[in-house]
Amino acid sequence: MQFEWTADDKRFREELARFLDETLPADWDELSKEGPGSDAQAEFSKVFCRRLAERGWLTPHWPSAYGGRDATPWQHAVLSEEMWSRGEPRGPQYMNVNWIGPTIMEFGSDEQKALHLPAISEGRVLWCQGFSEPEAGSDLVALRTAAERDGDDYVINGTKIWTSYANHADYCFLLARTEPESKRHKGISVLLVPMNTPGIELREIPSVVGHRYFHEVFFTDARVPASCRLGPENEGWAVVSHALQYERVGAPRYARAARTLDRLADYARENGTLDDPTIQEKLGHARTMCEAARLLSYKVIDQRAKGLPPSADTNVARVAGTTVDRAVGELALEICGENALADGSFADANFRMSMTAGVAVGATEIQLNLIASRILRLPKE
Amino acid sequence: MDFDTSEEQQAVLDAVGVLLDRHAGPKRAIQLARELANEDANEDSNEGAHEDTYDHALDRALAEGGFNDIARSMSSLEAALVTEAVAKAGGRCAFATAALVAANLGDDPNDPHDSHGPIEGPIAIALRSEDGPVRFAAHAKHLLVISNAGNANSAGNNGNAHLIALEPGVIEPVSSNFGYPMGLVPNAMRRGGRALTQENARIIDWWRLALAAEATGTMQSALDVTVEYLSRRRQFGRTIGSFQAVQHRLAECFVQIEAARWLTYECAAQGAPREGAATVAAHALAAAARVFTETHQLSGAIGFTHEHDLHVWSMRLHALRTELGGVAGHRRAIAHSRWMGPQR
Amino acid sequence: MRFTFSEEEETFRAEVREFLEDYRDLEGFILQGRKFAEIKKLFLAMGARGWLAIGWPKQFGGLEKPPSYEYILWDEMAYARAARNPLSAGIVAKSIIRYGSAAQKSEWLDPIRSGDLHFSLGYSEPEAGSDLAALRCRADAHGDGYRINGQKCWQSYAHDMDYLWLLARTGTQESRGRGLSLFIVDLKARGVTVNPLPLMDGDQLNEIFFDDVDVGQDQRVGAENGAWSIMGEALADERHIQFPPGRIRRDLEEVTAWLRERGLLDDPVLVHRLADLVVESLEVEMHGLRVLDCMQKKRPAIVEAATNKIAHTNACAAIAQTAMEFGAGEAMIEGSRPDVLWRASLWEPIGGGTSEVMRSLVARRGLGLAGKT
Repeated sequence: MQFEWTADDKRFREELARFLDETLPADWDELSKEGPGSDAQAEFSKVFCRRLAERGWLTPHWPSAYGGRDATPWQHAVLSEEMWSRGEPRGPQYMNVNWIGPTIMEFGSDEQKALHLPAISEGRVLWCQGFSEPEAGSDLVALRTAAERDGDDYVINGTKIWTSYANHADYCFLLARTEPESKRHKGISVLLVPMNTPGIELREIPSVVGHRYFHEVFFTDARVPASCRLGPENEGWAVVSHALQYERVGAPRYARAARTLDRLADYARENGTLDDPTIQEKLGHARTMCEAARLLSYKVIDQRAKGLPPSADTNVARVAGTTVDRAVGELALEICGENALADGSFADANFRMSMTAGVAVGATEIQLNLIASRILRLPKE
Repeated sequence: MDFDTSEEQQAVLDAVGVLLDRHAGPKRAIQLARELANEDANEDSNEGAHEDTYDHALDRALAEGGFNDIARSMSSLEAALVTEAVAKAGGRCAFATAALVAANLGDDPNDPHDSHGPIEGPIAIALRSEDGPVRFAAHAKHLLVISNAGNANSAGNNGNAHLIALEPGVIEPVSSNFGYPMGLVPNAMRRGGRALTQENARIIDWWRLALAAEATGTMQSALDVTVEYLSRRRQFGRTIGSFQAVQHRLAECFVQIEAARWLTYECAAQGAPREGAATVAAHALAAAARVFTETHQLSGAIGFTHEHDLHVWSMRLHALRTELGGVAGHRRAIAHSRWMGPQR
Repeated sequence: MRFTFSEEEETFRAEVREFLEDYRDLEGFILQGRKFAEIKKLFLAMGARGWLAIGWPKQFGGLEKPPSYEYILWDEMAYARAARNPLSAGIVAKSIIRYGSAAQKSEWLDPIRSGDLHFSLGYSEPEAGSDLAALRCRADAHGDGYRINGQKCWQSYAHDMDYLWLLARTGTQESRGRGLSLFIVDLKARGVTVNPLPLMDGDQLNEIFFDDVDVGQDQRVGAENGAWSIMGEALADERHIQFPPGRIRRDLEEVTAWLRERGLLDDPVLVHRLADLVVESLEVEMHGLRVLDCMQKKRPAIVEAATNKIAHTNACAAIAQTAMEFGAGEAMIEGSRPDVLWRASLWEPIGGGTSEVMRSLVARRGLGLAGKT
């Protein structure tokens, strides 16, 4: 057991931090308030990711065969931490590099690899994820969107919901039922669908989280060639399960929370409230949650670095990560007081960003179910 | 980074496991606590009967096994691992203070090998400013007195710790429901003693880490015994542990405990840095309250009885929580260290 | 809408307070299990004033006052820490009034009203805690009456009481709640054994064993197999006095005073915590009044009472927890005020229907969330 970063990892972190200091524009704080899905950030990501790619830092964790640098999972973690603590300047592209690309490497045809991987590793493309449906949220395998085979094409009909980044995306990583009447995990396939396919329509769902945050995506006789299918037909669930393994660490929400906390402390100092012991206590409390989430995530990274199969430790890390995200969001409102109420203020933006924590990417309740059954071995009904 | 125990570490854990199987466990803890109750009922029994409420046999076995010195012979990380194991087994002796605090009383805070020579245990540890019961004090040979100048948060050197040799019987045992033998140490008895070279603030760092390691092992056992009970207890025609509302609460406890564990290990491996020590104490002892509440609430009436082992661990959690300024103090210490330190 | 008591009710409250002056140091509310001899004297004095039967109909010697009087009485009793409402004058007497035979009424009601006769509640069993309908203790027809065999546990105060208000199975095991009957059983009868269940805090609950205990027909209250609805109605009668907010008010005052005496109130973190608790205790006060309001208007108060119990017992725990947390070492000493209050708070969210059962009630009956589909 040891808890030291290697000299290489430390150097990588320093270089990244320096690069971010130099590269992020002066108005980045303002720009990044609405989160990775905002118009401004999605646009910026295209410029920023290209510059990252030039240095080999967009996909360092990819194998060299696909233009990566074979960086370790620990270095990947450093990258994610540095990015999230700066408000994720990669915008939606964190998904591309973290799991969409690697899943295509694993299951894609040569054609698919040639089409998608360079675009991703050069930072030229935006993706969205077509998983949730109105009747399939936490219970994802209840999904109904159908992709019916018609000659060399699939004809897609159905609705996806809560789709972030759909308004910017070039492609959708879509889950659809390719075997009519199939149930649950069976009969699902993954399709890599160009978003400019006729028959795809978007509706923005106005929300308190932020502008253009959620979308509904309607598929009406949207026709795509069968070559868009990733992996074997009707075996899509295996593809998704594999993809989710890459996501097992999840976004390092704790890194952003820790950065936010430091800034809240600055705010309190400037406003003369840092000497208030009740403020100190609250900041200290939130800091414990950041550190808890950090270490629990590291435990998962350690398993990944050792090539171990995914375990329920992932769920443990996720619960801790979402807990701190929400707690810091609420603390921001409290510490900034009435200043927090202004639309677009630092605290307001943080709070809204934190609201979806524990709802998106597998609700906290689902994580807790898995911890209860897989770790505590509590009985089923 | 490496989250697996090394072979050496596993060997240490196996060795202490064998020893704890023989000398500790809930039955032993209950038996020792009963001695105290009997003594209350029978006040004019032979003098020194309270000696029995402290687990001298376990204390001796750990010392003879070399575990008290493991921070020096190996590192403080191994000391934290063993401390957690002793707490998990319900050990009723002052091991944490010996292994994590006393072992780090070096002249040079960065060098645990530079020590004052062995201090005869058991060692109790107390804040100079306070005036109440102290864990293990009635059985201790030495009392380590830490001045926090009325504020456990003060940064920088705030004077040096003192060591007071205790004659047998000078500290009166006091009856407590909180799972540890305690002695009443009035403020006047916390004066004087031999000044150590280690500064108070540094010892507080190690003390915080020791509390976290103890809390982690104690919480884990409280959760284990609760999960075990709820997995067989049936009501409404089904196992209580199969209710989702129950499962979620136990899973939340697990997340808290698991975080306490890794924060403890990291902090120990890094030599109890100020902010890290305050962080792990604040986290673990906040989790302790939650684990207490949930394990008892979900166990129902049986949890309060002597027939069920839960109380062996659960009640101790609250004793750990009250030490050294409590959770609010630990949290404020984080803020002082991180955002209000001299570097600002 | 009105949030004050009438002048007449306030006069009664003043009278209760004056009466309680003599019992200031009794501490019977928290230490009921250890102080019953003294508490019984208090009950006899209350009985002499008719207060144990304050809500009973006049024909049974009651004062026939509306529920607000019981509420005020037991709220003040709780605040004074004098005693908890006795089972005898509540659940037992009210069930006898409603379902007892003429003979039972004349045998039991007088000594209960006077405070001379006391009961322990014999519901829970090792395998039937939250799930009472699963209980197994049997009462089988035998001769002219019944013969009881089985076990009860978690009985508070049974060692001090005269009789047990026993819930036993007269039907089949499968009949669940529809096969239960209520009996009055002499705790000194042959075949009854009361064993203490020592608790970690030095106090005790009891387990009770029945080995061929014979009882007569006249000891069964209400119809055979008819206990479930009797219990429900009896419980409904008591909703406004089971968890009086006076207890919370007093806990908070005591804890605040205790912390002040030790000079701890200059800690702003603690002061904030206490301010939160003041708000919480006011919420509890409102929940209590809401239950009373339902009772006054003879409306069901199931959801209101469950909500009140959750809020009340949460507040109770939070207050005690604060004393423990900020009271440092002294709280560890057995018998210190934080130690006593904290231990007294532990049982509250479990006894009398656990918080989990209460939450399920609120979810199903209050929020209309469906049960299992």
